[in-house]
Amino acid sequence: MAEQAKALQAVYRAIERVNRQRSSDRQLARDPSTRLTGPGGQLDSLGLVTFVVALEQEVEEAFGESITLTDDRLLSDDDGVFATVASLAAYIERASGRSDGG
Amino acid sequence: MGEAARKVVVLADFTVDNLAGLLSNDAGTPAVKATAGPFDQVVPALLDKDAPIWSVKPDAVLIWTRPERVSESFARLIEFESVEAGQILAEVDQFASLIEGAVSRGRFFFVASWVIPGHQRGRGLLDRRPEVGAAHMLDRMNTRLAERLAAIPNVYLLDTSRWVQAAGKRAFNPKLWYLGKVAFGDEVLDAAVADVKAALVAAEGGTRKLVVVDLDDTLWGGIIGDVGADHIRLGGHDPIGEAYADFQRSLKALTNRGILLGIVSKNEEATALEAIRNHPEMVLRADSFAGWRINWSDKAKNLAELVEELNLGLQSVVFIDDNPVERDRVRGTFPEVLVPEWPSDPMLYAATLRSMTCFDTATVSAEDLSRAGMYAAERKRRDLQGRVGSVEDWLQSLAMRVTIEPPNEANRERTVQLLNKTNQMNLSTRRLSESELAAWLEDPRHSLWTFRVADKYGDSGLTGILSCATEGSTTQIVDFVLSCRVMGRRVEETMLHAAVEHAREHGATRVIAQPIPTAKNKPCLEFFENSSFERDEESGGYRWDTAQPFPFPETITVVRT
Repeated sequence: MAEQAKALQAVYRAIERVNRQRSSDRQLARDPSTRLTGPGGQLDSLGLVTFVVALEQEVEEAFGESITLTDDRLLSDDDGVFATVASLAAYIERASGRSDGG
Repeated sequence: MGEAARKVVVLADFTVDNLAGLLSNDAGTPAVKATAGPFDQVVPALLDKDAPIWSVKPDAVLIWTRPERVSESFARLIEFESVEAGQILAEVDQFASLIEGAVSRGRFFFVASWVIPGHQRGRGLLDRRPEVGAAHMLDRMNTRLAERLAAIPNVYLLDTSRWVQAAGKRAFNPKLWYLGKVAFGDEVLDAAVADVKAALVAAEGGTRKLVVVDLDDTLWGGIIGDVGADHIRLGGHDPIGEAYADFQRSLKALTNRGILLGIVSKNEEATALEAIRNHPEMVLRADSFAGWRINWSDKAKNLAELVEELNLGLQSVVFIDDNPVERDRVRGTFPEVLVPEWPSDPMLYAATLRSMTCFDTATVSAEDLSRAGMYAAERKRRDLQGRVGSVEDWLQSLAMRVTIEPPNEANRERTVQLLNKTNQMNLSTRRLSESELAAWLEDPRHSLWTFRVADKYGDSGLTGILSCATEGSTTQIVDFVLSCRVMGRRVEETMLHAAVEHAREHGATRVIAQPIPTAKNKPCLEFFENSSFERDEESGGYRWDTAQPFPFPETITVVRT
C-alpha cells in the first residue's frame, strides 16, 4: 500500500508541474478519477508530453529507478495506462516491480 | 496592485506554449499575459509587420532561438564540417538586422543568447580552440549578437546559459524534443520566466534604489551592545567573520551601481557609529550610507522616517534584517517594501544578496555611479541648512548652477531613465522608451531641455526634464520632471522660466500646464498650486500669460549649451 501511495504521489507531483503551465480554468484535479487521455481526457498533445516526461523524473526520484512511460503503445492507447490517474499509478507501481499485491 | 498585465509575445523556433503558460501563471510582478507565436516562424514574423502575431500589440517580445537554426553554417560546424567563421558571423549579423527591423512592434525586445545542449560534447578538449571548436564559435556568435543588439535602443540580450546552469542535468531532455519539439526542461523555463520578469521591471524603471540593513547579526556577527566592538565577528580568519565582511563587500558593490544604503538598527547610535567608523575590518564606513536611524524606536517607524528623509518612495526600498520578527513587522506595515526572506546562516548572506534581481537596471549612467557620493554631499547641505538662517540665505550660500541642454547623444540614456523612474515631481508621468521619445521629438512643434544641477558641494547631475508642445498661441508643458534630490531649491522655478521664455520666443501668448494626478505626484501638484501660475478652474490646470516674463530665481546661475 505504501508503494501504491508513493506512485500516486509521483503522479500528483507531475500533475502539479503540468498545472503550472495551464490556465486557471484548465487545471487537472489531483484525484484518482481524473481523466488524462481519451474521451473526456484533459491533456492535449503538448500537455501529455510535458506530463509524461515530468512523471518519469518524479518516478525516478520516488523509486530510485527509471521506468519508460514514453512508449508509443502506452501513449496511443486512450483507454489504457494513461486513461486516468488511478490506472497510471497502478501501472507505475507494477512497472517498478514493487507491488505488494494488496 | 491593479496594474494591467504586460502583453508578451514569445517567438521561438521550438515549442514555447508551455513557456507562455508559465509566464502567464507566474505570480511575481509584473503580471504577464504571454502569447506564443506560431512554431518556428521567427524569421517570417520579424520580416512581416502584418503577421497575425503582431495584432497582440505586445509590450515586450521575447525571441528565443537555437543557434543551429539561425545559422545554417553553425549547424554544419556542429556536425564537424569545416566552416568559415566569417560566414557564421555574417549570419548572426543578418539575424540582428531582422530584429532591428522589427523593434517598433514592441516597447522592449528581449533576445535569449544561444546555448547548445550539454550532452553535445563537440570536440571535447578542442571545442574551445579558435577556428576549430563549436563552443568557441558559439561564444563569438553571442558576443557578436550582443554588440549588434547593444546599438539598438530597448533591445536586451538575456543570458540563457544562467537558466541552463540553474536547471543542471534537467536542462535538456531529448524525449521532450522528439515528442514535442520542446528544447528545454521545465527548470530552464522557470529560470527564464524569472529573468524575463526582472528584465521587464528593470526596463520599465522599477529598480529598487535603497537597501536598508540592520546591524547586529546582519552586518556583523554578535550584539555589539553586549559584546563590545572588539568582539563582533567581522573579517579576520574566522569563516563567519569572513562571510560578514563579504556581505558588506556585496553591499558596497551595489553602491557602485547607484544603489543607496541605509541603516535601521535598535542600538545605541554612538556605539554603532564608533564601530562603523573605526573597526578595522569594516568594509562599509559612515560615508557608505545615505542615512540611518539607530535608536530603540520601532523599525517600521524608523524606516518610514529614513525613506522620507532621503526623498524616496517605499516602493524603492529593500529591507534586510536577520530577525524574522522585524522582517514581519516591516513587511506587514509596508507591503511595498521588498523584505526578502533571509537565510539564518551568514555564510549564505553574500550569495543571497548577489542573486537578487531587484537591482537590475536597463541603463547605467554617470549619475548612477556617483549617487552614493551625492547623498554624502546632501548630508553636508542639510548640515549647512541647519546652521544658516533663512531658506533664501541657505539657497544663496549653495551657489547653485543649472546647465540647460537640448537632448543629445550624451544625455539621451539618462533623460529616458529620469523620465521613466521619476514619480513625485512629475507633471504627466509620461513613460516613453528611447525610440518613442525620439519619435515625439521629430515633430517641430515639440521641444525638450535637460537640466543639470550643481552647487558648491558637488554635481547632482542631470536631474530635470522640461518638454513643451507649441501650437499657435499656446505652449503646453508636457513633461515637467525633477529628481527629488534637488526639489525645493528653485530649480522648478528655473524650469518654468525656461518654458515661458520658449513660449515668448515662439510668439505664444500663454503657457499651460495640465497636471495628471497619480498616487505619487502630489509634490508636483502642490508646487504648481503654490507657484505663480494661475489656476484654470475649468480645466483644472495652470496657465501663464507670456506678456510677462516668469520671475527668475536669483539664487541660481544658468548656463545654456
